[in-house]
Amino acid sequence: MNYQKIRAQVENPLLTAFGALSPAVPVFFDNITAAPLNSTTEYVRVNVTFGLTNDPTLTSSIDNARGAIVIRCFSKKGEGPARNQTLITTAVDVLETLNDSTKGTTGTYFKVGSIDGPSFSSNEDAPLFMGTIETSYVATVLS
Amino acid sequence: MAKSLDVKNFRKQITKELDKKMRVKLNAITRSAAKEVMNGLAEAGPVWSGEFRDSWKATLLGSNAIGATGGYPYSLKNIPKIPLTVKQLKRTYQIQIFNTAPHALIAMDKEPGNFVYPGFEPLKPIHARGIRNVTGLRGDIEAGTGNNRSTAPLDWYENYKKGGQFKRRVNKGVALARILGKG
Repeated sequence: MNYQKIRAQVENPLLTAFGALSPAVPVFFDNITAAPLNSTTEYVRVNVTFGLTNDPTLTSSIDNARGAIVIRCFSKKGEGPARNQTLITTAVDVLETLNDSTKGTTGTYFKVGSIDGPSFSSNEDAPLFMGTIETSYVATVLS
Repeated sequence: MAKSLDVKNFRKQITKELDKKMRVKLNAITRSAAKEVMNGLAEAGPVWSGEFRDSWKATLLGSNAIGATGGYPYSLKNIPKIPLTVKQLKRTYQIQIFNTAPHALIAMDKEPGNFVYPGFEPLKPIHARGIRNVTGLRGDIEAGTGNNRSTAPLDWYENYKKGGQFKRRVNKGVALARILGKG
């Protein structure tokens, strides 16, 4: 099982897409130092979780996994949802593009499920406005 | 003529009896699967005082029936019995599972929270210790010198739902109902 290849399938395009925004938005993944405490600048937090690995019901290959992707976009509080929705749209576009790939004989075949959200939340303690989308994925490492 | 009527009645009675047996079986399978799903949620989620873990409830859709009050490990007593009516059987969704703890959304990483040490250690082993990140989410803890702790990984609930564990628990519940046949 190559977890890094699976993770790269979703993390690389997200990093590219948010980097192309103006201004570019920093993206933080698992085990990467996130924005400093009480940060008031926007950023994106991506969490890729692994559920069942080597699930034989997915394909005959044993190199497959499924799990969840949770993308949280943080933008300035008290300035409406527009900017946050722009960030969420960027993430949704990336996830939808992932489903365009076709299964070959090499590489990693990656598909996401239906996207839940966005759901928005903000409380008085949190310094930023948060928008969240969630989806499932199945991935097969072919080589 | 009388003979054909008898056959008709016999067929009707047999159909009714088989139908009832099927509904009893469906009741057993649904309740067993719900019990397994609740136990899976309790095991996958965070446990500090145990309040969140012990607050999973099952309610019957279409009525106010709730299973007997009780915490983890959940048993069939905690799942309401499903009426053996055709109307109930036709419902796409039979049972709803929810958590009644006041901080449930925080425990499920859906909302940021304010975290205060309650004065006692958690019931479940620590999963991560360090500094809670700016997100303010329960499970978003970065390894470091801080003393923030969590007892379940970030987004454990989404992973449970979408990562295959939910389906595995449902399958286990169905298999158990087939073996034990309790309903």
